Amino acid sequence: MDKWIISKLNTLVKEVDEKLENYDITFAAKKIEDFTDELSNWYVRRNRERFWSQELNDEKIGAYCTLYKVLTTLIKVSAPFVPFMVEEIYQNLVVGLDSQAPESVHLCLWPEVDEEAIDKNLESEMDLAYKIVKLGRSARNLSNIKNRQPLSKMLVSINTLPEYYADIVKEELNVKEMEFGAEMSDYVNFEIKPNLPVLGKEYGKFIPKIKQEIEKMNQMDLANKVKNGGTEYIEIDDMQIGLNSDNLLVMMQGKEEFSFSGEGEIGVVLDTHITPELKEEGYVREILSKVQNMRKDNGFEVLDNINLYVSGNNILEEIIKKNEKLIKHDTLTINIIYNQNRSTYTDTNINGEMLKIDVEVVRQ
Amino acid sequence: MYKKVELKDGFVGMEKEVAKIWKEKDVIKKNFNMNKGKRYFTFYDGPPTANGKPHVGHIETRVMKDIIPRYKVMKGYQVIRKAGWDTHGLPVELEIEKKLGISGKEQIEEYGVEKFVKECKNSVFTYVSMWEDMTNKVGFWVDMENPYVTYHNDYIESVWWALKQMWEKGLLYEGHKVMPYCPRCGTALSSHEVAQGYKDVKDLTCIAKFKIVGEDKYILAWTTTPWTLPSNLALCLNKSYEYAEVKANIGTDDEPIYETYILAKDLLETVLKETPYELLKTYKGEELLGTKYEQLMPFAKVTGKAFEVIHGDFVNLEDGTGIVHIAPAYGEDDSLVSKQNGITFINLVDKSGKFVKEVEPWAGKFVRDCSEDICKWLENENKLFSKEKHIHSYPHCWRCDTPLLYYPKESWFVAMSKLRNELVANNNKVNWYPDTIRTGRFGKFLENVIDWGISRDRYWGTPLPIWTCEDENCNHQECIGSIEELKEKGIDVPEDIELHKPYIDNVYLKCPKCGKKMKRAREVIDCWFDSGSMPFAQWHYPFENKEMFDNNFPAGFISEAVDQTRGWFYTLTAIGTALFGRSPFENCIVLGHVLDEKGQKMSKSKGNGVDPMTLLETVGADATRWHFYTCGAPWLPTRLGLKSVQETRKRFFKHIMECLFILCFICRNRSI
Repeated sequence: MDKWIISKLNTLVKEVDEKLENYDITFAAKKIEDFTDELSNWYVRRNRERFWSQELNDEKIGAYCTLYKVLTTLIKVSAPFVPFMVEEIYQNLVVGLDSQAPESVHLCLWPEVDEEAIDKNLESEMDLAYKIVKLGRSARNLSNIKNRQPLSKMLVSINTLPEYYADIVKEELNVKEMEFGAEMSDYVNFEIKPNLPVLGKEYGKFIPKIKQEIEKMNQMDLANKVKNGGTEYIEIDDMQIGLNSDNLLVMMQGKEEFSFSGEGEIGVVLDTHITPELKEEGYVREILSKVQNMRKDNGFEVLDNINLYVSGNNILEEIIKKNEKLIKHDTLTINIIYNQNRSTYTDTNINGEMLKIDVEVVRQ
Repeated sequence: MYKKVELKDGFVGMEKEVAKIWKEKDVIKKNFNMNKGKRYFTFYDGPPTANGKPHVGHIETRVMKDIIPRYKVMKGYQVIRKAGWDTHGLPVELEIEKKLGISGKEQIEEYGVEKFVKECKNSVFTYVSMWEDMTNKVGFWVDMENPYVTYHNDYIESVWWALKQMWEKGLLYEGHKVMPYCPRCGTALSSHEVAQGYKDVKDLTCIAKFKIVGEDKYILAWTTTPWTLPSNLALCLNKSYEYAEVKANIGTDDEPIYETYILAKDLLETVLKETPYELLKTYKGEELLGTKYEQLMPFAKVTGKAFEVIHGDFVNLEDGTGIVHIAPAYGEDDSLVSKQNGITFINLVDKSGKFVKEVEPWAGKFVRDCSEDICKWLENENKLFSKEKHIHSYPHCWRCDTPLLYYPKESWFVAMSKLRNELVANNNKVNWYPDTIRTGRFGKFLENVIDWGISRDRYWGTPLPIWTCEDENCNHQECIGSIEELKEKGIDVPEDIELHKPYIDNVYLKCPKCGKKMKRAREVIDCWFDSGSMPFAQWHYPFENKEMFDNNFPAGFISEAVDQTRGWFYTLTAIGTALFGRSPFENCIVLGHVLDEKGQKMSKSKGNGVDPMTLLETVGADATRWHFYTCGAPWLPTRLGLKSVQETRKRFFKHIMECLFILCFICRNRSI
């Protein structure tokens, strides 16, 4: 992960330089914007455990050093664009720490590119993983299923992804299994219609015939071609008509119990069927999250042990009992006490089931 | 300890703090002086006028101008960026006229030219502190402590040097061309100024009947400017076209009235419309040449050749009757074709655009207001065939919005048409962003470039340094290229001579030919010549800073809004080509206009403008900058409003803030 962001950083330095050299300000700025998205939504997010870990170990130091290096370089590359903010950051991150450094970011030279650190292969694989995750997130949004609810399977159109990245994707999207090389048309319904305001204007009376022609075609191929900016030609009464993304409306929707999201060549399908086991796991995850939040809200120290009180829901009680070991471990709970009369319960909604929860610190 | 940066106040507080740090540590000056002795990279700042308030478009130009020099400094160049102020010209004079409650040249003379010029000079920095404040707030680093100012004596001297170079190359000449002329400002306009002011107007147009001498036939001719008819001296057709003679009934079926007309055969239907007619005969235009006709309106006493049918290549069959009415004083084609055919010259309009006393019915009236009356007069005299309102594109004064007149003016020109090929070739070496400007908008303009009318019959400007011997038999002319030369050739030139009017008008030269007195031409020059001279005049070159100029010509980079293709981009290119044989800039980013959030043009009347200071003080400079850099290519119009900039800010800065939040902990643990 560190290698990846450092590689991306060096690529950024190089690309922004090239773009500005050619007076392409807009593209240079876009590169910076894309990079900050990846830095924050991918690098920092994926490494949150390293950043927030309790002990000061090599992992944590490495993460901080990497982020420090990235930010102090990023502000130099951004200096011609947003001179104020980068100075504020520079004064805080650099001037205070390094007495040798120039006194202003605007007295620094352009950062050197470390060609050795650039690994195009690594970048493209990670970029692909991130892209699949983004598509997976949007597929989850479409199906209205929270990320905390585990899913059994996802299917992707690409043929392979090294295990390391596949694991990241599965973890991020909270799915158990990932299937490659899936035939999207098995899981996706296509609806391709003429865009009437556009196509109707030109070929008004031919619309019914055009509709027939469209239905005859392979829907997946047509949808892909059009979505990727291509044009499919059909012939009606000796007249050639080009169909493209301007004059067609292409809707792609996952079939029942599947949710789909795609971009260009890449399609991602989530199997949204929730088995009783998955449902149970979803409850447990949700309870864990609620308890962790209550610990935080009550201002407990991270290492405090607690007693956990639950009440008022038989189904959840069974599930908690089944998973007591896991819950105790993850929330530093000594005892779980069921159905005690307390005035300090909080009513919580656990994926549609109501549960009263309370926590208290156990003093040794 | 790391201070947490807050997003809430739009960074405005943070930006103020940062500006303080820059001031304390003198960072801006240190940035100007970075990489001393290394390669130069030069930026030319197109000078704004500080007698008007900055608007949001100026933020866009400053933001774009700023980024490249900053980048080049980081890449190890020493970057020269001198700020400049454009101070001369009609806009300044107009403001002062308004302030003093006077209007026009007569009243200025009455008020006193010296007082007037002083007022102009005092006004040019009216809003300079607002400009400086805006420039600082947006973070545009340009040397405002040592700006070039176009009215400074040193600057004027360099401009004089440039004019003298052109004079010596035979590029400067006095002409009598018919020129676009603003009757309100009393000054001729250059072609690039005219190009800035085309607007659609509805004018009364008419087809007049010109009676052939000794015959009962009329030639029909169309005009969009009925006020030029009293000055008609010829009719012009194209000898290769076919013309028709028709018998038309302009009465009714019961009471017919027949008249015989001559007009282009192809235009019979469009001109005669419903009027019934019978085709009598047709002939080639050639056969009509030399036909004499009666003077249409009897006001001018005309001596010399006139009232004849002549030929002109420019006559076409697109509109009108295929026969064009010619008034040599009021059109470029008219003037040229008359000269070619030996037609005489009359001018019935005075310099304020009013008819002279010979034109009795309308003497003293502004000519463009007389169209109705003239048509009525023609109708009463049975000399009007038809009239109708017609919408056409007509040039207006780019400053005061008065419709221009074409008018014969004595004027000084730079013979740019002689340099047409060089201009095109030099421009082709420039990298334009977008490249289409090079071959399109700007390239086309250069391919059709005409001579640059540079003299202005006004007061506040760089005086034209040309003196003419008062002896009519001598008429010797001198162009002065420096203060030293002025002192050498002038009579009793004050030691600390200020080169402006009226002081310079009191300086006479002694004619080297006949020994009599030489008087200066009364004009000042086009202020666009001033700004186009900035590559050398900002350094008082060649009188000082020769090395500085050599190291910083041409500029690596300039950037202005797209309307400058007719303005600064052109005058830089023109003067660079004439003096140095090359374009003074290598890379140019052309900027689109700033629109409101709905894509509408910002205007005072609609009240949808965004105040630049409000923008900078509510959403901050960085967010505004980032908005301009990211929302589409620079040359496309940018949509902007407080809300859209806020969205830009959230989109980008959120991420950086999140990373910073994490890094705050670094400082808690310095051991890392």
